[in-house]
Amino acid sequence: MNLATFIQLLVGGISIGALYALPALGISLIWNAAGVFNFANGEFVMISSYLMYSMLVGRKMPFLAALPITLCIMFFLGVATEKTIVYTLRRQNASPVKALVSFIALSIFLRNAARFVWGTAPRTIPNPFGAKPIEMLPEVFIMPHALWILGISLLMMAGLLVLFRWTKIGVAMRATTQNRTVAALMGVNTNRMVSLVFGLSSMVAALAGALSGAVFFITLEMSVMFGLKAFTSNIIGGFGNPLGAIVGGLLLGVVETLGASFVSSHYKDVITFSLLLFFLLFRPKGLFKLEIAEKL
Amino acid sequence: MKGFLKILAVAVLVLMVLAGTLSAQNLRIVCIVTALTGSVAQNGEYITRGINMALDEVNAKGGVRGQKLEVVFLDDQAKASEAINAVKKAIYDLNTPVILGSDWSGLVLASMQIAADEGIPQLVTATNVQITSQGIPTIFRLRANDSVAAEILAKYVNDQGYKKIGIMFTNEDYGRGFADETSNYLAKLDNKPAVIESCNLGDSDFTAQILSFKNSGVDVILALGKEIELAKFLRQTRELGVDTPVFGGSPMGLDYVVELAGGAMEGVRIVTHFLPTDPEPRIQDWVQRYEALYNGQEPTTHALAYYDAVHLVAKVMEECGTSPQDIARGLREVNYQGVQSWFRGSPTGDLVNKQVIGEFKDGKWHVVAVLGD
Repeated sequence: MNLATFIQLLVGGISIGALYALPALGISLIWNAAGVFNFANGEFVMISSYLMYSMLVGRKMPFLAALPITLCIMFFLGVATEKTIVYTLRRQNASPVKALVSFIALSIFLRNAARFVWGTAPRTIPNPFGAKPIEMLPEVFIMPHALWILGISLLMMAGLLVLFRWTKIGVAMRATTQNRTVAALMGVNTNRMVSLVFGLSSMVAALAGALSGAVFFITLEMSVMFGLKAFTSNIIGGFGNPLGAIVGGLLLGVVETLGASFVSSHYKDVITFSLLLFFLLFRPKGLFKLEIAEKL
Repeated sequence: MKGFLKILAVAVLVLMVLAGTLSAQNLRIVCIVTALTGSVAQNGEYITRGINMALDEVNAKGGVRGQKLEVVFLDDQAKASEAINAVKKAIYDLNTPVILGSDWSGLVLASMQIAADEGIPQLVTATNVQITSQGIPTIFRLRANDSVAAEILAKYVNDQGYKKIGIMFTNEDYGRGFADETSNYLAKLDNKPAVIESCNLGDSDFTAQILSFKNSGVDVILALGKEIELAKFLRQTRELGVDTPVFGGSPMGLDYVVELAGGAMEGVRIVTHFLPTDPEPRIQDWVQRYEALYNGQEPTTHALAYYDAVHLVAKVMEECGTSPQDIARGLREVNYQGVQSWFRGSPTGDLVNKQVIGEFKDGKWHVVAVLGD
């Protein structure tokens, strides 16, 4: 293994990791805001891929126009999910099991709805970032999409950070997440905040879908893969911790790619899910503990 | 009003009984399709098209023994558990005398014993060698098995002068079986593969495998296994600037795999069961009829294999009888020229030995050689 190969693998691993990190972040945001595990997160990723397909291939729109439209549609889908399912569950004071089953039902519904709308054939979008690799260093070939995925994902994450840290609405969202009763007493419209978090989470997952759809193929089954990897990222990073979800996703992508290369591609998933088992057994709280838990 | 309701109820009952007897007059067999839903639902669509086309032809000629032939489709969702359920349903609920089985080796291997125990003949298109090597007298295969394909592929690659061979396979029964068989034949030719890599179904990124091939300097890559993953692998191989020649198996020949792989398919050679560009007049005639029926869409190996299967079963039932025993006996002795190939009874149940070598050039598959008949 020479250095050039290592760098190439590392960049590939990080960019795949970024695609895992985005839905993982989405799950984490919702977990904090509403206390439910969004089982349908992988389906949000898949649907946004198909939306991109419809716009890029069906309507011949440019990538940069299709991306914001997809993100907007998915934002409203997220809000709609909250307004219908989560709000009803909250009003009923439903048990966590009921919430989980509702989300499993939503995931099955969305997958089959997508099958109804887009059919069963796998789809592909012409790679908008160009299909020619860039030779960054001698012998180090990096696909332009790896850099774009990284760049756009980091931009989205930075945007979320700014929103949560330095804007009034972000602070209100965080307050709702940490203690809904107190936030309501302080005059925060907590219902609206939870809806907004759902919209944001759906939008973050949609970004992963839009980017991966442009680079890989779009299949109905991609939702299962993304759902599983996002869940694993959350466990590795620490459930409910947004930073943990991001680091967990990146780590998962890198370990997967390097493991397949250093050990053997035959054991790729063995390595990935050994990592999950390791964290579940020896560090169930993940790499980063939840800040709020520490404050209690 | 009450009187009217009574009459209506009786009428509905009579209609239901009539409908029951009408459908009972049909000769019903079951096809377990991989899959009507799920990742390979496109294949399922091809299979049902081939079957429906053949059914119309059989029934237009008066059906089988004066009865209309009917096929019930069961979906196995490309999952072993569902395949087992489907086989059970076919045998115990639908009392089928014969099963047209899956084209996925793993699913057939998981579910075949249930039908075998009940003595129900199964016609499958899955190609893993183990399916017919277990001494089950009621299993029949409608395509050449992987051992035949592997031998042809190994010999062809060796004859072309490639000395450092890399194998990439999808880690499931078909891909692994095909890769093992090919490795064995290559070893016999004193040309053992230099690098063997694999991926799982659902994988998206193949950088690690591609760089392994690139760094070890293989002069040819044999990509053996399932459709979607190998299309991604092929596309990424070319994107990363690796232009090593690629050879593959029948899944690479499917139209949607070509579409997914984009320009990367150019120059790829495959060993397969059928190509729509095969100049054989019998095949061209069928291709034209298929395209006329399905709005110009090109037929695939799935459509043809199951088209032939229906005609084969209809012929055997017509000549030998409609019980499972009659059908199994008939298939053991069959000697029938279908569209795809000849179907000849054999001790193992392998009915076909034909393979086609194709090359993708200028956006189309071209037949390079036809082996067997």
